[in-house]
Amino acid sequence: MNLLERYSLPLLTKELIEQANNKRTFILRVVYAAVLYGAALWQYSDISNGGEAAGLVNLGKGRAFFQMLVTVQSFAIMFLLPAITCGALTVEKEKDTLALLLLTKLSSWTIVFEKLVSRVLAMGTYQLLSLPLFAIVYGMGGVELSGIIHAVVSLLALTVVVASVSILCSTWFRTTAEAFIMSYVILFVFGCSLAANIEYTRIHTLRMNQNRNYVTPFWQAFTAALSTDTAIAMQAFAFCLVCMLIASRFLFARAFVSPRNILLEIFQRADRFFNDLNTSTTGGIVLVPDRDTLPVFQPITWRETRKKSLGTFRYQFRILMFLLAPLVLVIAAILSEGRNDFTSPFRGFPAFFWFVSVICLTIHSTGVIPAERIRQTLDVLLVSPLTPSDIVLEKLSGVRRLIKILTVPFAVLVVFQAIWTGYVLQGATQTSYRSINFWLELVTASLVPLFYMPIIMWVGFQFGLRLRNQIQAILATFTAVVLACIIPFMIVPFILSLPFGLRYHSEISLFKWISPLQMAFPTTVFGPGYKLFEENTLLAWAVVVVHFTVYGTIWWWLRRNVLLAFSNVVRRMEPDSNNRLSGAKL
Amino acid sequence: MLAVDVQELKVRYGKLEAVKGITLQIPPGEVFGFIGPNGAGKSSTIRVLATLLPDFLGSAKIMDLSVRSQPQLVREQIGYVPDFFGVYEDLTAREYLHFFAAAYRLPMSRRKAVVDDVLQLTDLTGKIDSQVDALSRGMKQRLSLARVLLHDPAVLLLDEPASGLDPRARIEMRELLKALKEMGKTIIISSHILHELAQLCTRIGIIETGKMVAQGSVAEIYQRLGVLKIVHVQVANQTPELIAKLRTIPGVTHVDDQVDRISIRIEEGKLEVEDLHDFIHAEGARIRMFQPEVMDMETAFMKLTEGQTA
Ligand SMILES: Nc1ncnc2c1ncn2[C@@H]1O[C@H](COP(=O)(O)OP(=O)(O)OP(=O)(O)O)[C@@H](O)[C@H]1O
Ligand SMILES: [Mg+2]
Repeated sequence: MNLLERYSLPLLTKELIEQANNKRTFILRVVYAAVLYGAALWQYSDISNGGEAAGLVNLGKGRAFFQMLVTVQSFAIMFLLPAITCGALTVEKEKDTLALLLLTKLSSWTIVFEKLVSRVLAMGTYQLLSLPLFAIVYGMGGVELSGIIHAVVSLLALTVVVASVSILCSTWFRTTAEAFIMSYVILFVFGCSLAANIEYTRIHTLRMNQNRNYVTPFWQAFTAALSTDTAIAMQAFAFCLVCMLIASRFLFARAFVSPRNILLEIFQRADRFFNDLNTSTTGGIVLVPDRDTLPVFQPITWRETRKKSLGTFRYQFRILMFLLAPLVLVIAAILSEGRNDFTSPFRGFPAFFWFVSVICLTIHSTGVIPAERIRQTLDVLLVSPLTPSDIVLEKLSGVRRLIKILTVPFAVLVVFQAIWTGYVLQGATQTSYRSINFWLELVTASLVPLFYMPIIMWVGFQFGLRLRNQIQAILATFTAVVLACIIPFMIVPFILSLPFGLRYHSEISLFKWISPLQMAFPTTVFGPGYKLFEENTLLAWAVVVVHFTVYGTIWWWLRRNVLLAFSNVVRRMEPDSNNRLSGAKL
Repeated sequence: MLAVDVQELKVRYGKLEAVKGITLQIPPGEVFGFIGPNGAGKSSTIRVLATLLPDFLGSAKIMDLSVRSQPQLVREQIGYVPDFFGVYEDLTAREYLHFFAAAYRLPMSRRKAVVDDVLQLTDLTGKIDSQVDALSRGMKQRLSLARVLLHDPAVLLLDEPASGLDPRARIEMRELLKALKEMGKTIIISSHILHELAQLCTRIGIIETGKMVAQGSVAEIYQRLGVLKIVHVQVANQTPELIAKLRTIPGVTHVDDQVDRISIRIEEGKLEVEDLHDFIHAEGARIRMFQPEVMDMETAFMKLTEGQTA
C-alpha cells in the first residue's frame, strides 16, 4: 500500500463529491452570498450618504463595514454550520447506513474526523465568499491588517468549535432533530458563559484599575495572552481534538441506540423527580395530567400531543419554564429595585424568546411529515378515510399547542410592559420613551407573536412536505425567515433609492416596516423609522395595519395552499383532483 | 357485481410506462395472486387500487365504486398493506390498533371488542401491550393485517405480505390468509413466492413489464401453457431395461436416473399420470414411491416471463 492510498481519505472525498452534486449546497451558497453582499450594499449606501464628498469622507470608515462583515459571518457560522453538520452521522443512522460504514476498514476516528473536515471545508467555502469584501474594507482604511487577521482567525476558530460541537451531538444522538436542538442549546450555553466571562473580566479589571495599588499586570497579561491569534487557534484546535476523541470513542456505542428519545428520557427522569417532590410536598396534586388514554375521535391529534416526545405537554411546559424563568427573575429584580430606567433590562427578552421560538417551531413543524416518510407510515395513514384537512390539521396539533404555549412569555412581557409604562412610569419621568404612542406599541407587541408563529409553522410544514428531508426543510425555513426579515431592509430600500442617486429618503424607510424584524424589535433595531411615527401617529397606525394585513394574507394563503396541495404532493387520490393525465385523455 | 374491476389500466412515471394496459376482473370471494418479476408493475397496480396513485389512465373500480371519483368511499372498502410498511415506534400494539380504529371512525362502543377480535385472529393477543417497534418482523406483518381488518373491508390489497418471513412465519401467514378467505373477503396478493400463491389462490395473474401475460385459475394457466410435469418414482427392483422402456413411452420426454429415484418428465395431455403408473406396474416393477410433482410453478413462471425484467 503506497502512501497516497494510505492517506486517501475516502469518506471525505465521498462527502465532498456528494456536497458538490447537491443542489442544496449551491442554493445555500447563492443565498448566503446574496445576504452578505446585500448587507454590504446596505451598509455602503448608509455610509455613502455623505453626498458629493463621500469618497473622501469614507476614508477610514471601513471600521463599521468591517464590524458588520464579522457580525454577519459569525451569525452565519452559528446558524448555518450546525444545520449543515448535525446531520453528518444522524442521517446515516436514520437511513440505516451507518452500520455499513462501520463495517468498512475505516476507524471510527477517521469517520468522525473526515465528516468534520468535510463540513468545515463546506463552511470555508462560504467564508471565502467574503474575501473580496475584506479586501474592500482594507482598501477603505480604518482597519489594521492585524485586525483583519485577528477576525479571520477568530472566525475560523468559531467554525471549528461549532462544527466540533455539532459533530459530537451528531454522534451521540439518534435523530437529526435531537442533535440539532442540543447543538444549539450547548452553543447557547457556551455563548452565555463566554459573555459572562468577558463581562466579569472587564469588571474585574476595572476594579483593579480603581484600586491602584492592587494592579496585577499578570492578570492583564494573562487575559491578553489568551486572546492572541495563536492562542485562539490553539484553543479551538484543542477543543476540536477533545470533541473528536469523545465522538470517536462513542461512535460505535451510540450507532445503534434505539430511536427512543434522549430528551424524553431526560425529561422522564426529571419527571420522576418532580413527581416525587410533588407527592412529598403537596400530597400529589396534579394540575395537568398527561394520562395514557386511548384515542377517541382525533387519533392523529392524540398521537401528536400524547405520544410524540416533542408534542407532549410536559416537554412544552419545560420550554415555557425555560423562557419564563429569566423573565420572572428580571421582573422581580426591577420591582424590588424600583428602577425607572425600564426598557433596557427587557431589551434582550424578545430576541431571546424569538430565538427559541423560531428554532422550536421550525424543528417541530418541519418534522411532521418527514418523520412519517422516514418510517414509511404515511401511506397507511393516507388510505384511511380521513380527509386531507383532517390529516394536516391534526398532524399540526402538537405544533399549534406549542404556539399557544410560546405566546405565554410574550404575553407576560407585553402585559408587564404595558402596566409599567401605562401606570408606573406615567408620572415619574418624561423621557423620550413616553412620546412613542403607548397603544401602538401595545397592539404591535401583541399582534407580532400571534401572526408570525403560525406563519412559521405553515412555512415549516410546507417545506417538510415538499423537500426530501427534514434538514433541508429546516434550512429552507430558516432561510425564508431570514430573507423575510432582511429583504425589506436592505434590498428594497436600496433599489428604491437608486433613482435618487443612493440618497436616503425618509419615505423609503417606511418599507422597512414590512420586515418582521423591524416590527418585532421596533425600539432595539434601527431607529430612523420612528421619527416619522413621532410626528405622525396616523401614519404609524396605517403602517401597522398594512403590515399585519400583508402578513395575515400570507398566513391565510399558506394555510389554504397547504390544505389544497397536500393530497397532490403526497400522491393521494381525491375526488376533485383532476390530474393532468386523465384530464388530457379522458 | 365484481369486487375489483380494472379496465385498461395504465400508469406512467415520467417517461417510463410502468403499467401498460392491465385488465382485471375479480368476483367477490376470490383470492387473486399477482405474480411478476421485480419491477413488473405489481405494486403500481395495487397502489392505484389503494387510491395512492392519482395519475393513471383507464378505469379502476372496487365494489362498483370508482377509484377516480369516489376515493373516499373506496377507502372504506379496502384494507391495504404496503410492501414497505413502517409502524409507529411510539405506540403499543393496543394503541396502534385503537389509533386506526379511531381513524376509521369505528363507534366507540365496538372498538374494544373489534380490537380484541382482530388480535385473536392474528394471534397477537399476548403482545397487546408490547411496543410496536419491539415486535419481530412477522409479528409486525400480522399487526398490519390486524390493522386492515379493523373496519371489516370487503377487499384486501396485500403487497408482498410474506416477504422477509421465515418458513414458519410464512406458513402462519398462509393460514391467516386462508382464514380470511373463508370469511369471504376478496384478496389481492402479490408475491414472488410462487408455490405459496399456488396453494392459496383461486386465480392467478402473471404480469411482466407492465403487461398481463396470463390470467386464470392455476389449472387453467397450466393447461394453457402445456407445461411439462415431473413424476418421481422409486421402484424396489430397478433394472436398466425398465429405464429403457420408460424412454420409449409416447409422451415421456425425459427420464433421469437419479441416485434415489427416477425422474420422469411427461407432457401434459399426451400421457396421463395414471397411465404411467399402470405401465410401470405392468412391467413388473414394485413401486415404492410414485410422486407427481404438485405444481411446477417456477417453470411456468420462467417460461412465461422469459427471464425479462423491467
Ligand atoms: N415512484 C416511482 N417513480 C418512478 N418510477 C417508479 C416509481 N415507482 C415505481 N417505478 C417504476 O415502475 C416500475 C414498476 O414498479 P413496481 O414497484 O410497480 O414493480 P413491482 O412489480 O412491485 O416490483 P417489485 O417486485 O420489485 O416490488 C419499475 O420499473 C419502477 O422502476
Ligand atoms: Mg413491489
